[in-house]
Amino acid sequence: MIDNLSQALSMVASWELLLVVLAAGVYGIFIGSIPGLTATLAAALLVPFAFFLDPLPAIASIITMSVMAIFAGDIPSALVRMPGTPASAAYVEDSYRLTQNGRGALALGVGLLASATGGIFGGLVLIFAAPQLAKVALLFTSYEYFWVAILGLTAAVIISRGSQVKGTIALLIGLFVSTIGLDISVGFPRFTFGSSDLLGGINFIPAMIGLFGLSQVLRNVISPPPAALPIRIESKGLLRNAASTLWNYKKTAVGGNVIGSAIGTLPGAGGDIAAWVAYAVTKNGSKEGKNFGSGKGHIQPIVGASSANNAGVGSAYIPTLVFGIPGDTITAILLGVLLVKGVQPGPSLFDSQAPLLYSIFIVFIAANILMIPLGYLAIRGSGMLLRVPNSVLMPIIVAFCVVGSFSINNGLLEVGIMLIFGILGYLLEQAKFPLAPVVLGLVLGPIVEKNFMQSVIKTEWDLTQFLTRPMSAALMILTIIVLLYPVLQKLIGKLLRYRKPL
Amino acid sequence: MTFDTAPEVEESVDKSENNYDLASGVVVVVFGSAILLAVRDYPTLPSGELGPSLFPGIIGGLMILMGLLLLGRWFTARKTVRPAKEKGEAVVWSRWINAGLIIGAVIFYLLAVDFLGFLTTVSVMTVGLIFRLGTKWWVAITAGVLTTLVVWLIFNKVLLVPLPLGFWG
Repeated sequence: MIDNLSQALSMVASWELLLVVLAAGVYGIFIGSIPGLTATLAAALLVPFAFFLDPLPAIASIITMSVMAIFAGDIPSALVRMPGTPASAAYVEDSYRLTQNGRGALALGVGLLASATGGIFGGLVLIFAAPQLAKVALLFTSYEYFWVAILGLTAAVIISRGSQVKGTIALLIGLFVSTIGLDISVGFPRFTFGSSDLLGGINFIPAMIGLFGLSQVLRNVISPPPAALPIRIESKGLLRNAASTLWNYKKTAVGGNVIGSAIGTLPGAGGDIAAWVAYAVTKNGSKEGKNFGSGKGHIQPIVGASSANNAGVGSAYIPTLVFGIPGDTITAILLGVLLVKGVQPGPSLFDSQAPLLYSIFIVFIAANILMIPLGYLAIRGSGMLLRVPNSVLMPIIVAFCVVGSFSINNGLLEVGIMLIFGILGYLLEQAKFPLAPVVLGLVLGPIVEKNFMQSVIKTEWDLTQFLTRPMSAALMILTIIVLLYPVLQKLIGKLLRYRKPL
Repeated sequence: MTFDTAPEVEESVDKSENNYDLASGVVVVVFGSAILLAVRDYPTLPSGELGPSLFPGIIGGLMILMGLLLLGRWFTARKTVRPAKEKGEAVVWSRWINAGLIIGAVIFYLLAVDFLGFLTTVSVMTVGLIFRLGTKWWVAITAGVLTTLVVWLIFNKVLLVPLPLGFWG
C-alpha cells in the first residue's frame, strides 16, 4: 500500500495535472453557479477535452469539476432563488430566505464548508470501502456481472424522479440505442439501415453532449429562466462564522455525510437524491423541522443536505470503480471516458492499476480541499458570475457542443448524433421523462447483454446458473428488494407518518 | 419516511402532461412494435437459439408493455385531469423560432463546414445566434468571433483536432 501510495503521489505531483485540476475547478464553479446549467451538462461538455488527456488527468478533471459544480449550485439558490444544479434544489427556500434576512454569506459559507467536509467524508468512504468490495468483486463471473448490471438498471428506474413507467421507458430507449451496431454474439449488424458508419454503434460521447448540452440550450431559449438581480452579500468573516455554525450542527453534518455516502453508493442515485433524503431526515429529526423552508430561513437543513450532496459525489465512484456500474449520470459519463481510454473499471483495477486508483483517491481529497479557496472566491465574485447574459452563453454552449462532438472522431456523423439526441432530450424532459436512465441504459446495455450471452453460450443455455450460484442468488434477491422498494417505502412512510418536504 | 426526490410529483395529472402521456404512449408502443418487426428475421446462434434478436426483442416487448401502461394511465386520468396550469404567459413564438434557429445552426454546420471551413462556419453561427438572442450587434460580433477563436485554439492547437479548413485551405 505504501508503495502504491508513493507511486500515486508522484503521479499526482505534475504540473499538467495541477493545471488541469485548477482549470476544471474554475469551470465547475462557473457552470454550477449558473441556474439551469447542471453538473451533468458540465461533464458532457468536458468529455471532449478529457478524451484527449491521459487517463489520470481525464478522471481528475471530471472529479474536480463535479465536486465544484455541486457546491457552486448553492450560490444562485441563495442569491436569486434558483438552484444552480438539481443537487441544491432541496434547500433553495432556506438559503434564499437567509439571504433576504442578511445572512446569505452565512448560508453560502456553511454550504461551502459542509460541501468540503462532506466531499472528504465521501472520499474516505470510497477509499476504505472500495478495496474491500473489490475483493468480493474479484470472485464475480459473468453471471454476477449480469446481475450487478441488472441491479444497477433496476435501481436507476426505481430511484429516478417522477413516474417509474416513464423511468423504465427512458431506460429502454438507452438500452435500445446501445444495441445499434454489430451484435456481440455473431457480429450481425443491428438497426444500421445498411450504413457502415453505424456498425461500430452510436458513440456515447456525442449522445451525451446532445442529451445534456444541446437539450438544455433548447429548453433555455424556449422557456428562459426569469431574470433576477442577485442580492449583494457581505462576505466579511465568512469562513470563521461558517466554521463555528457548522461546528454547532456537527451532528446534522455527520448525519448528512452518512446519508449522502450511503445513497451515492446506490447505482443510479446521485447527489441530488442524497440531498433530498438528507433534507427529509434533518427535517424529521429537528425540533424546528416543520418551519424549514419558511420564515426567516434555517441553516440546519442546509448543513444536512449540503453535507449529503457532496458526500454522494464521492461514494458514487464506489460502484463505478469496483463493478463498472455507474453511481450517477456523471460517473456514467466518466465510465464512458474510461472505456474509451482503455481503462476497464472493475476489481482488476485494484490489482493491476493500483497506483492509478490511489491517485484518483488523492485527487478526490485534494479537490475537496481546493474547493474552500475557490469557493470562497466564487462567493465573493458571485454577483459577477450571475450577470453573464444567457444570450451570449447559450450560443457559446452550442459551439462547444458542435465542436466537442465533431472532435471525437473528426466526423459529421457525431454532430448529427448530437443534434438528434439534443432534440430527443428536450422532448423527453418536456413529457416529464427522466434523462438519467437513458444514460445508464446506454452504458449498461452492452454489459448486460455481453455477460448474459457469454453465460448462456458457456453453459449451453442452462439458465439455472443465474439463480443457483450463491452470489448470483444474493444479487438477484437484492434486485427483487430494490424492485419491491416502492411498496416498502409506502409501508415505512405510513409507520413514520412522514410528510413530504416543502 | 419517503424518498420522494421530486416534490413536484403530482397525484393528479394536469392536462398538458396527460396529453404528453397519450402522445408518448402511442409513440413508444409503435416504436416497440417496429423493433419486434425488425428483429423477426435476425439470424440465430449456430446452436439454433436466439442470438442477436434476443435483447432488442426483450427491449421492444417491454416498450410495448410500458407504452400500454402509459396509455392506461392516460385513460384513467382522462376524467380527473385538472385544466392545464396557468403558465402566466402566452406561447411566445419568437422563442420557438430561436429554438429552431439553434437546430438550424447545427444543421448549417453539418452542411457548410466542409466548404466554408471551421472558422467561418462557427463565426457565422455564434455571431448570428448571439445577435438573434438579443444582444447589441457589436457585442455579438466580438463575443462570437472571440468564442470561435478560443474554441479553434483549444481544439486545433492544443488538442490537435484537424478542424476543417474549407476553401481557405
